[in-house]
Amino acid sequence: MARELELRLLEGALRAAGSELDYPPDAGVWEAVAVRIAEAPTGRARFRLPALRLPVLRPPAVLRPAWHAAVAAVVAVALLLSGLLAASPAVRETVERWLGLRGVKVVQTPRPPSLPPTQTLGGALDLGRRVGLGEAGRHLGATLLFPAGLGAPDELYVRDLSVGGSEVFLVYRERPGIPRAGTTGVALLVSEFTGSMYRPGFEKYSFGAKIERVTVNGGRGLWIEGGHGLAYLDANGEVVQDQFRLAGNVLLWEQGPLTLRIESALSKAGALALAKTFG
Amino acid sequence: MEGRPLEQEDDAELAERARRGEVAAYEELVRRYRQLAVRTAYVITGQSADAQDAAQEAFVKAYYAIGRFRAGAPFRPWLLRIVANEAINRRRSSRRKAALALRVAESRPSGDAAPSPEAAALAHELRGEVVTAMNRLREEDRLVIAYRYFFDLSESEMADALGCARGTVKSRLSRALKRLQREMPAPPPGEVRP
Repeated sequence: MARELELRLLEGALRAAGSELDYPPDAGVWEAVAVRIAEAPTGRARFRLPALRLPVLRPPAVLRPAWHAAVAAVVAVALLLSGLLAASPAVRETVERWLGLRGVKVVQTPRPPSLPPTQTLGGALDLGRRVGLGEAGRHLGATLLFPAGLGAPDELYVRDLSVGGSEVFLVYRERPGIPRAGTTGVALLVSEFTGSMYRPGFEKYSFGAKIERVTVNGGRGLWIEGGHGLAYLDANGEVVQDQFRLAGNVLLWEQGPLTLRIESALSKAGALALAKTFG
Repeated sequence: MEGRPLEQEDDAELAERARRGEVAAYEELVRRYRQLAVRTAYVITGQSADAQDAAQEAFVKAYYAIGRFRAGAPFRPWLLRIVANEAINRRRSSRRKAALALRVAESRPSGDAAPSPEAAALAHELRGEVVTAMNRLREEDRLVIAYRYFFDLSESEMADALGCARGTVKSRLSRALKRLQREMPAPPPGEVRP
């Protein structure tokens, strides 16, 4: 009897101890495994890769500057996702490994739906909360920049970012010098947030687009034509989708502490000229 | 089957899809079992980084071995067998034998009616002694005890995970518990455990 009681006490103590052990975290296991699998996909005949022809790519050299790798990543992903999304998961895994997108689940951003007319210009564009000028500047945590020659923006919005901080949107309706972009009545959408678009873990991928590296106001930038979405890899390793809200082109660049983005139907030359006026 | 979210597929379906080359299906299996894999490895290695390495290594090996995985067989114990082997190899080749540790946070409610402070303190002490005793056991004994009492594997899962017959599971567990009891300090005379 005593032995059985002792055993029961022991079992109870074991169960309790089992739930209280200082177990290691397990969050990054898949990412580590995915890298290994992609590096040696031919571990089994069943997983051998088909030949892959992507004009831009070669496996990156060991220590490229982050900038080059990031741009190569954007270009290659655009090519991949515009034409090859139907490629097998094994193919995609290898490409992702090449691009340094380790463990990233790359998702295709759907085309933005056509938007119903709303009371506000920006109301249906998922821009966050509408705010006034002073509040926008406070949320940004830096000096808000404006393009010259367009007058005040018609609406301002603030949206919280999953990586922390806020993104501020400036909404401009059609006016001289800015062609219409799509059907929303918005001709120019400016977004600003504090931070580098290429800080570690925060990378952007564009879907179905032509992408070009540019310099804007002395800072590095990207010109993205014909795309319909962006995805960010945030600090938690989660893919955050951000649709292009206008049927237009995007110029994205870093200036001072900010990353700015303008969406419009402007040509590259027009967008670059406009960006030069930001101050 | 198209369009059904992976989270709703059972292990057998996911394993079959992984066998056919679907990495996404394997990823779902990894997400399901990563915690169990890391914890099982930890029970053996006693050391956090080794446990994570062993779990990762096991998942990689399982991926390449999935062609040998019998369709319809239970995936969990098959995986655990690979995890345990990795962890045991790692522990054996490591010079320092790390020890299991309890989480520092105390005063956790057990879900039952709150015991008296004295009872809670004694219960806590007993758990500490159990872990100390576990640390003195061989890896195989720790593993069989953990499978049963930490991770609630059924007897048939334990048989698969240990690679032995079901009857053998009973006797291995019984011997492991006896060895554990021998490693426990005897209570002082007169003390009544909660």
